[in-house]
Amino acid sequence: MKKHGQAWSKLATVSSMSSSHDDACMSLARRIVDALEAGDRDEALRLTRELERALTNAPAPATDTAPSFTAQPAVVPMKHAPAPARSARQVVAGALAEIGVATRARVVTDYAEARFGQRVEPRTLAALRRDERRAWDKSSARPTYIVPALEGRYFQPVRGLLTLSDWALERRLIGPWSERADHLAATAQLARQLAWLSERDTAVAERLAPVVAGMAASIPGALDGPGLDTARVEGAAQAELGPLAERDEPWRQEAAARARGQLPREQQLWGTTIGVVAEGDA
Amino acid sequence: MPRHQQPDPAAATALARVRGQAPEIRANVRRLAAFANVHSCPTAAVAFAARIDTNRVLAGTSMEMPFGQSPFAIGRGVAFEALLRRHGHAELRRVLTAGLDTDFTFAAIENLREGYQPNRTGLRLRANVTQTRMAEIADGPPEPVVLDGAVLHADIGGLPAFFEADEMAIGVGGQIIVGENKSWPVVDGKPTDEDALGAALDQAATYVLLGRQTLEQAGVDPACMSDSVVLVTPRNTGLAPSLHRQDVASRIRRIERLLSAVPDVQETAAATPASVTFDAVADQTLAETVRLEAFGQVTDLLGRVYEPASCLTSCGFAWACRQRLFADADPGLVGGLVARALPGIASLGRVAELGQGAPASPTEAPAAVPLARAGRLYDEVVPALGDSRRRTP
Repeated sequence: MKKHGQAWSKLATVSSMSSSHDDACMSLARRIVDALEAGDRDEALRLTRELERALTNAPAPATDTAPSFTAQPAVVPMKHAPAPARSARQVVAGALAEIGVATRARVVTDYAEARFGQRVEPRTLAALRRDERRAWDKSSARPTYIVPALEGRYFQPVRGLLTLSDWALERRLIGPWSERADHLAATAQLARQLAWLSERDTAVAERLAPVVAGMAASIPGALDGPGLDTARVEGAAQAELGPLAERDEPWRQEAAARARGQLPREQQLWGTTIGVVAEGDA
Repeated sequence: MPRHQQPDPAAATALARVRGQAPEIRANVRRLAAFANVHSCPTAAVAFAARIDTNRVLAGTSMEMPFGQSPFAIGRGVAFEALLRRHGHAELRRVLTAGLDTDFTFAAIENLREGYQPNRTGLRLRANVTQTRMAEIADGPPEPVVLDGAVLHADIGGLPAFFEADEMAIGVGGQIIVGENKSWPVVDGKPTDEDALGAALDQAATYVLLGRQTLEQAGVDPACMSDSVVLVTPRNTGLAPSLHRQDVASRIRRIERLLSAVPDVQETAAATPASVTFDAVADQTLAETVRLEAFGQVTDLLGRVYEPASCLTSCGFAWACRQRLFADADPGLVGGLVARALPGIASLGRVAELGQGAPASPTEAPAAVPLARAGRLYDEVVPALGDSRRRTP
């Protein structure tokens, strides 16, 4: 049943204010009217915010720069249960999309845990891959599928490396330089991501830092100096990636052209399966 | 890659009958090295030709030997290999660069361990890639190439077999170098297990030999395969990899002799009596006594050469053979060297009697004289113990 009398109780609060406070508020209100009449919209907005603060007794902001979010979050009671966590598939696809290159399952799950706070066990990814394949066979409407990378000679699936189906074929192929090139590209990307997150979400950045440091451990010069310097990590990764990409990219283009010429769409995504050679036939 | 001759169907059928329900094993370098130690034994030769896994035939009996690596050693091996391969083979690139005086930072590394099916089809494709890549040495690749999980193909005793090498570095100063990863540590520059070192070098030498055959098939000078091989092992107590280069020319020659001495499958099949089969020996539904008796009959029929030093480390039948010799008090029990010095003497008991001066038969006479002399010498040296120790068994 709806309660009555709430407006009266608020009025009682207002009436308890001091008269000088009332005067100040009235003065502000008049200045707002004047500013509106003068067509000074910005001044009117500024004065309105000042009036709001005066009415609610809120402290004035330290500066007029962008709003900060240092205030303690309000506790809001919820009648509904919290939204269910994202599925393992969504988490893995989200992590892969942010990394952007073929990645080992362990790195994907470590990144996903740091970034989204949701752990996906690497051992469950085999079942996930099978589900993806079944969904594709049933023509389920999915914008993107989690698919294996393909080795570049016979285009067989490399199940330990995950990619997304909407990436260009070149990005899903693995050749003699690709594993290292992809690792360097992923490290550079995650270093940039860490730098961005450290200004916005320190909790996520703190979780992500060890992941980036672990990936950068094999890159000469990336971890020199005290602490984890994301610019240094990115620079070191890019420095090694440059000459490697000069070899890797032409190989990818050639292999992708060959695959497009030889394979149907299905095999371009899921790889080829070569029949079993009979025993003794070698 | 040229197609190899199919084994004669009759020989294949005969060997399948010999194998019966005994577990099968494909030829690999470890198996070949184990057979090398016991190749003079007719029973071992038949078991090798029939691809019988001697380590598992006697499973479930008291004569089953504790072969196989410790799970801890296997776990360490897996961790060490993973360390070398992670981050796009970063550690492998580093250790090869440091140890071979060639920059592997931008080397092309073909990972043949992933993407290929874990069966004969996968091995065959990997062997094709290995041969193609190895042939590129003739063109002088601008940068080194590393084959991770190279597969070499060879005929062993007339049967095709695949051998998987850990690494093959191509184009290092115009040569191809075989590499083998081992997870046992080298502490202060010395391996902790000399036997394991010897086995690893034998393994690598076999790959060099098979690599030369592969190059010859591809029409490339086999001298491109270096006589020296590299072992990648952890340094001291951690897992940090280090590289050791070693010349294995003499091992290559020894293994070449051994491979040429591997019995031909078809000849072995033709020479094996029709009644020989390991079927009952491996039948775990039968009683142990029945299985061991069946084993005794097979080895009696084929013949056995028991050498404690080599059989006990290389053959899964060793305990069963030893037991058989022990029951007969056969002089072979103490090894071939001693047995050859005792021609015509049936048992160790008779050896002791001849040492005490028993009259020798004409067949025993050649060995009886030195035995009697040895017995007298023994009594003179240890007179107090002579009566109590030298009892006739």
